[in-house]
Amino acid sequence: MTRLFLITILLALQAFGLFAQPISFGLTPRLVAPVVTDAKIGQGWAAEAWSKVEIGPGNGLKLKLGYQQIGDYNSAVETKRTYVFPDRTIRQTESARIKGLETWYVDLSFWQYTWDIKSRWSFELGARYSFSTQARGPYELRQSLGFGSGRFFSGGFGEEMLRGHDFGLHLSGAFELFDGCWLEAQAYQGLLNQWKDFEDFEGPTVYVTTLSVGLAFRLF
Amino acid sequence: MKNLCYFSLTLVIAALASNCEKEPPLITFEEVYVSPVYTQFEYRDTGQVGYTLQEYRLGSFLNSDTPVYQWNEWDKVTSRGPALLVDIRERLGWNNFYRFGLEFWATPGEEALWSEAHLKKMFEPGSTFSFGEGPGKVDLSFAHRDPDFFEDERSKASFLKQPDGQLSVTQTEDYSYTSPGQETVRGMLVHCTFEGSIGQYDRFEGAWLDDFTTNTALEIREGKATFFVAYR
Repeated sequence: MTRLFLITILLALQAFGLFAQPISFGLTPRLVAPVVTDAKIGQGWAAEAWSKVEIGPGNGLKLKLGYQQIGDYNSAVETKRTYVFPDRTIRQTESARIKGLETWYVDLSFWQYTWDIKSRWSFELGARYSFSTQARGPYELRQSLGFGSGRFFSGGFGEEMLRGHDFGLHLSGAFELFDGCWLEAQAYQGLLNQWKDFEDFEGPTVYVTTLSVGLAFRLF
Repeated sequence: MKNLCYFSLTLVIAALASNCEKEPPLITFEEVYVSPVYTQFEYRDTGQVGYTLQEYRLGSFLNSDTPVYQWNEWDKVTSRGPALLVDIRERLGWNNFYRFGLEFWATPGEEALWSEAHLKKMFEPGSTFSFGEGPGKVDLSFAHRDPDFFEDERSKASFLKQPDGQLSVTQTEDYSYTSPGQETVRGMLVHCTFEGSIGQYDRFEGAWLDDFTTNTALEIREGKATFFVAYR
């Protein structure tokens, strides 16, 4: 529903001509390199639809809706809890490892030509909100209840361990290869730990940092 | 605009640099919680000169190869009315063996049996229970021999022809616990002291008979316990 709403906004910008200024609409596929926490560069990709409007001579705003998959993370947590209650003893082991992240995002940025309005170089500064974030990686929950009985769950982990959203800043530079096509380079830094806060201890951290290059195509 | 650009660039580079700090690939956390229920006392068998210390404590198995004890709590209807039984059993594999127990009877006419209000009234700090059977009394039982041919070899206060002893409630406190994936069990911890004599189980006479009585006593002193009763 949220995605549909954002797509509607993007189209509405085009349809109603925000600020009655020149407006364009396009698509950008990206190759994304996440900086994972052990100083290793991972792999990923992203695709985004964008709408760009001029609000002054040589500058303006850009709204994007995108989807991104990044991988090669290796951040894990394991908790071992033993509860000795009067009538039962429970041993619980829960482990999860983030190997990759998939997310949708909406992004608002300010863009400006670097030297003059006729320059082929421009830069962007923007803020991004990521949502519906899901993690790829193993998750296991083992419970030994009482004496002998127990249960085991293995699969994907979700809300109980993953924050599910992010907010961050990005800085981009673009070079217009030819009319309607730009080569973009972008650095993004997320500000929220993608692991949820653990109540009893300081858990692992994954702050999304990405470097990416993409080709932005203006469709109309 | 240039300043804004430099500031943004600095911000992103600083964030990139900070993110490259190494973190262990696995962060582990271990926690053990043990409910504070226990009992300890000294007992003396017939012909024994000194007293033997006995202790049943939850979670002792966590640190060494010691027995595993489980505290159970039951309510049941007996020939002397509704009763509440707290017992300790030793787990040995799939079997469990009775070790220690306290059986309390409700006062006749009580409407909300074993409710929070009833239990708080029944175990009000300062209240005492004489050893024996029936309302206002407690039947203390203890299986002091190692499990043998019979599973249940408990000696009981009520086996004595003249029960002798008393349990005193020193303090109570609300207490609850939640097993993962299950509902919270709400109740109270009852702290108490006890001392007296209980009638020894006789393996050959057959103490399983309802009218079994004996004059052979097992003396108990310096008894302390904290047990849990759930609100119903």
